[in-house]
Amino acid sequence: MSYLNKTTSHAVVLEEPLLFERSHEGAYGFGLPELDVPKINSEKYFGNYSRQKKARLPELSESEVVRHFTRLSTWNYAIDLGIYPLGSCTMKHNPRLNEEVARSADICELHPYDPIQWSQAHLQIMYELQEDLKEITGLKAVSLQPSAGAQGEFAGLLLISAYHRSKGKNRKTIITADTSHGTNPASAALAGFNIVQVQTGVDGYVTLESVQAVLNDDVAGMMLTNPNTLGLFEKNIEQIAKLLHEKDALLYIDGANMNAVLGISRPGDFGADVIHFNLHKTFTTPHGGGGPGSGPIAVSEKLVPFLPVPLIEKKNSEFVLNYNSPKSIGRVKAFYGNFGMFIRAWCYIKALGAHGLRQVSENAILNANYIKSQLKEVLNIPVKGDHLHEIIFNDLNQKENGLETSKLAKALIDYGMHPPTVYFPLCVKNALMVEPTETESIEELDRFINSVKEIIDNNDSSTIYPKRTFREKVDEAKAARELNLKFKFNE
Amino acid sequence: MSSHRFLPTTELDKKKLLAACGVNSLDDLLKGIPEAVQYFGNLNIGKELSEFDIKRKINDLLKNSRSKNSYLSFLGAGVYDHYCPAAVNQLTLRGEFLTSYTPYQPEISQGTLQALFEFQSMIAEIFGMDISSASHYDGSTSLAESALMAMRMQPNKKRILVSGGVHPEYIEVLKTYVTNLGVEVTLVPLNEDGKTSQSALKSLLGNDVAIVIAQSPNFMGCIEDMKELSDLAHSKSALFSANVTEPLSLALLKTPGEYNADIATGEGQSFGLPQSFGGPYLGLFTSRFENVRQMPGRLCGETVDAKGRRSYTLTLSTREQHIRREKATSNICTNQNLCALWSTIWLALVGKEGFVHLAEQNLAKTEYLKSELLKTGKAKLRFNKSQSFNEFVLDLKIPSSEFIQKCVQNDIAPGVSLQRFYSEDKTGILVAVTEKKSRDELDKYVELLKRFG
Amino acid sequence: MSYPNELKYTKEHEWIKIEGNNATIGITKFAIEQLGDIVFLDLPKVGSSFKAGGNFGTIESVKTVSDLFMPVTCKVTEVNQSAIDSPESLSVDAYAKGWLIKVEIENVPADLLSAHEYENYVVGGN
Repeated sequence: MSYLNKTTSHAVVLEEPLLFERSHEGAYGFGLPELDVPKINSEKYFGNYSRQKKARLPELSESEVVRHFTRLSTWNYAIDLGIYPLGSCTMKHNPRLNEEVARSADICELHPYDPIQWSQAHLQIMYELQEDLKEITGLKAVSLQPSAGAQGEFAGLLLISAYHRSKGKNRKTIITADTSHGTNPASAALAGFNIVQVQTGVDGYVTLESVQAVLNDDVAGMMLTNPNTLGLFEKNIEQIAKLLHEKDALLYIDGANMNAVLGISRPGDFGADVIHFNLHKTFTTPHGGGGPGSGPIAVSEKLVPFLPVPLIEKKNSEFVLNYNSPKSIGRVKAFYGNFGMFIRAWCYIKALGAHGLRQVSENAILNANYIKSQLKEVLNIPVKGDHLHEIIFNDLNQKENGLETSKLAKALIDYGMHPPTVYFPLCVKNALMVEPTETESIEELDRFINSVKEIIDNNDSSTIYPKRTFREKVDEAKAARELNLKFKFNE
Repeated sequence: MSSHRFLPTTELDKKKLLAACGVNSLDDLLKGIPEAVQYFGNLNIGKELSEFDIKRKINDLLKNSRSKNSYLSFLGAGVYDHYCPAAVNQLTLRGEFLTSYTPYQPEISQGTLQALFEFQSMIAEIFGMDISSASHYDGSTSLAESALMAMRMQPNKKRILVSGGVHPEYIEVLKTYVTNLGVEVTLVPLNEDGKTSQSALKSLLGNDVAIVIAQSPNFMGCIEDMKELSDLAHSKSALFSANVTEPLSLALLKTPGEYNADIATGEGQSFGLPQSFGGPYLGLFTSRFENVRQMPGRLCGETVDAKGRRSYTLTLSTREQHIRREKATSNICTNQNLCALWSTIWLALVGKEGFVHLAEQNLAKTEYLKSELLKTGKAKLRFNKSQSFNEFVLDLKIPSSEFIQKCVQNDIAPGVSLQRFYSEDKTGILVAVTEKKSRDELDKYVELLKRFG
Repeated sequence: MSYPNELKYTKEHEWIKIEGNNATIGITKFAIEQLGDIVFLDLPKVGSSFKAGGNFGTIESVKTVSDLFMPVTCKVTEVNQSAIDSPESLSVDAYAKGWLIKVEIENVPADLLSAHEYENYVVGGN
């Protein structure tokens, strides 16, 4: 290999070894003030409890560390670079004020056990966010505690189980739909439920008949995503809620797609008993390459007594943590939830206001429908209907030309963008799920549309994509077979 | 009316888009939502605010809270105030890290993936364990997931033993996690030295115990006899899970690998993450290699690309919910990626020698404060026979609430009242000392004890 | 795609070669191609017993995991360690070297498919 190829793939996209390979003895990237108290001989102090061998962390100067991670960062695609149309993931612009505020010392240096009088600003922010989420959902109370959507689901399901137990019933079944996210059945299993799945009708909606067919006295509740993962608003939702409530079963709404209905429809108004939010989706706390998320839940009157503790409450003009809730399901995480995400979401909601929030959803719907209008001639839409913020295609029209969903997705990478969600929802064969969000301009939407069209026009069955990336197609099978999960030191 | 600053679509653009969609108005695009469940009101959440409005609002709120300049905290209890070099904050602000999604498309996510591989390598090395996951929500959920993993590995065993030295909020989370799983959680009490009672553990152990969970340094700050606890658990073929809420201590202390833990979990907040009023933090999860398929959460693995160049990808995703649904090893979907990146950069800067120096400073400052506080004669160390790292229980002669209140009036938070967790404990406070406390600040604490203790 | 005539098949895509009281069991070429790159096999211990239709293990590719179903009521007598060690070998030789387990038969259900019936079933789009 020539020296040129060894150091660069594209100009200014630099190769970079692992931290451990960069390490050189004696380098130091961290300065500590001089110790101003007597030193303790730790080996003597700890005796038998002492670690035998120092942890082999790398040895690097600050300049090397900064360069290392900056080089790594250039290998990532991000919403800051362009459209990121991942269906069901709501990848939209992350306003920078939110980041600045969340990282400011006054906000981020507070300890969770700091005295209550020092925590008033933080508690007020949490309280106001709860109030805003209540208003947005039309529900009765909110817990901000769950760490992410999946934990919100788990907490919500425990509330449902606690509700039935409080009535002396031990109901064991949760109904889900085949359009649901994988976390739904996984969370239900963790909460001790059995799962019954109903099929979505050919028109993409859950039917009353299919719910009726599985509804009995053992059903604790039903989990539905609304709008569902086909991008359609469950048109029978109100009747489904009624049906469930007649049997004292509860309706859980997976709020992953709330970005479509802010100020347009409220789950509490159509009979939802519990919903989780993904603050990192709808309220644009940054995805951070996969977390941290935040998954608050909002609940109807019936479930209020069971919410996780502590509750954030306002007593006269003071904000307090209330641990006294005898029927509570307990805690799902230590402390009070991901406060760093609450402050970002709070800033976002304040920035938009009531009118702005509705604009968000309207523009998200408009953008998705624009993509639909421009691509419906070239890509198949397996489930027709009034799509809201996302549109699901598949490769039916293209497969015979050798352009399968996975290939189209990888080809889009070469056009400088992240592909849509693929092979989900499972009820659509080879699905391609496009959610552009409201923060894409017409120009960027057209870049996506034109790229898809050009890939279709120029398809050559022998090409393996991507070709123009820092790394070409990555061998995932080798990774799974060999399982190299950490750096191997030379012993 | 001009568009909102977050929204690039102008009124003029909207007209173009609507025309392309073949509709006259936005309402036409909403007709899939039954009118009965459309909301026609105006949400009661106020008008849109400018950036400046929001900043002003926050500054107003903060006036009712503490002012950071005069403030001194000795709080720990699972959250520690360590120094974080400026480079960490600035590197994690890079949009390519901050605003990317989970690295499901490895070809355009190598930056996140290599950093995760480095994270896993460093955490496994610090814990002395074979493998580390790509991170969990926080320490409490990592601990709960370790119990679930043990139940999966031994489905016939229905009991969990958890040391009374584990963070009480973590124990609450564990209990919540197993609410409906038909499992019994039993607490193993601490002895008079503040360590898990080995005799109690012996009598509680049986062949139906799936896992024994202990924490070191434990919630009282005491270093536990983890080797003995681990051996006891294994003698009844239970798994042993070690929890570490202050992993900086592992710079000096025997690792979970060295005392043969099957699973070791922890809270990574100590690795430079801000205290942030309780989160987001960083759940650490490590295990033996042979149990990798039972592990919950994301994993990053090394492989090659089509040209044979070293690359990284998420792997073993068949364990996860998006593929295995209700049979998944966990319902967890995300990790705490940005927090994992944060700690990876922090650890890279702190480095091999810095890690030890930092831990030694924590130890020295803690021992200094301990001895100076003792000299006042106003308080005792509750567990003076046990070693500690950077945290200890101070037993006051007056009610802890009274002492704390007086200190707070002087802008010092002297420790976490144990009464917060154990209502009968009226005199104990948990005091944490990190490298950020100067000798002057430690002496100030001593003065306050002299005055108010 | 051809399916050896001397084998019997199930709708869950296992093949079984019955020789007196003993049998060898694997999964069909069709199933292997559907799965893609196979990365892991989880097979039962020698000595374990199963009813026909019982779940006896799993087979994983990068993005999917499938349960394996026992074609007959039986007891496991041998497990193919080399298939476990290099699961990618299944796609090379599904019907000989790619066998998964050998068993001692206790009962053979009536609904096993012939090669012809299985091929029709697969072509039918299931």
